[in-house]
Amino acid sequence: MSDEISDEQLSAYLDGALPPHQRAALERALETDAAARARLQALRQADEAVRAAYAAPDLDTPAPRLAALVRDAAIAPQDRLFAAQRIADRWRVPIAAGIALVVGAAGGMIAAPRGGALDPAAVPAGGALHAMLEQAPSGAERALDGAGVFRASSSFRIGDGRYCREVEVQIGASASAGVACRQDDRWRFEVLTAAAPATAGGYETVGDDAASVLDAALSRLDAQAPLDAEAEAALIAGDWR
Amino acid sequence: MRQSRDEPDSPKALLLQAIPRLQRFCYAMTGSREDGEDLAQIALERAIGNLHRWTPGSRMEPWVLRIAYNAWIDEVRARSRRGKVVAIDDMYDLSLVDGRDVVESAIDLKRTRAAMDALPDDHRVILTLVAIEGMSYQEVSEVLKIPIGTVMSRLSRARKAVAQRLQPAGSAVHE
Repeated sequence: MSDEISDEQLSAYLDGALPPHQRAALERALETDAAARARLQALRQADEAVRAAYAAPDLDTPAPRLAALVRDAAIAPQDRLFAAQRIADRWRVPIAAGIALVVGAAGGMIAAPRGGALDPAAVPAGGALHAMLEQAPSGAERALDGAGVFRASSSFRIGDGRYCREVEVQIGASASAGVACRQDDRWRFEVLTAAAPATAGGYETVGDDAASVLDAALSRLDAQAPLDAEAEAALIAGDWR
Repeated sequence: MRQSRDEPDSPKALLLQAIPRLQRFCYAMTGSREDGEDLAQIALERAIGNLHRWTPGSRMEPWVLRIAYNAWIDEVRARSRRGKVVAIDDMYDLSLVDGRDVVESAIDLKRTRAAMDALPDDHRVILTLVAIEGMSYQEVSEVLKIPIGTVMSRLSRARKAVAQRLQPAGSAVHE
């Protein structure tokens, strides 16, 4: 038996993903462990079988309708893409500079069952956060009930027609980012990054995680391009209708 | 208009380059040519509509593959063939075939496909990216936004599950 050699080790060995010293140790162990060699061979064959089962040389060439879809698409010039990216970066930077908390502080603020709100993601109507989502223009910081800072980074429409806003809430040294969407005069968070203590040196990882969480949500929601300031101001003035 | 199909790094050119890999990925994820092409189309449409969220200068392929995977999980899977019409019956019939020293490759293909059908999506996607696309753990981690340790453990379980289905009766890969 080869209880000491795990499938995970064998699998990583197969991919050349073991560090040199582990690799050498595994190779020594394999020499005397026929059962482990057989398992390794079975895992290797699994890959070969999968490759054979889905071999489709014609897929190396784009299908005509897919190629046409891309070729005929009206894709914004690079300039505009970069401009949109700058808008996105404007709120990502603060996240990278100290993502944190909010499950505690803002979580309580957002999710408190005050007013009978049973949906933990629903923003209580009449509260400070609701007012900020309704009124604060993107890019501007606003004090939140004296307890923290609210900043909307962009407003946009999503696939189902609702208006949503990317926002960041900072309380003390920690912050959380999220996407809130408006329906029936209420705001509800579709995603809110979990809070983590802001620690020196841990910014990038946490920031990347938060950004990817938001990216995934925005993709799922089919978020459209951010509205420009004029369009957003009109929506704010018109109660988002 | 600076951007055109002549610029090798234009979003359009990068999207075109990503199509073959996207097609292969979608085929393996859906298990069907038709569903695969439909999924690839949805992913491309979504990528085009969300290009402002793509970071210029970053790689296009992982981003598009992630969009495809999310689309599969969120909506396409429910109306696809995979998961509904699985050749489970075939599996049982085939398992009665004895003495498989010489195994017909067609039988192995069927077994492999049934094994892939039976895998959870989050395992199948990793086996697809590694075994078919030859991606490194780091690349898989970037596409799926999961830690490398998770990639490794799911991959080994997926491989083992497929390997077990491929073993002739009596010489099972042990637990």
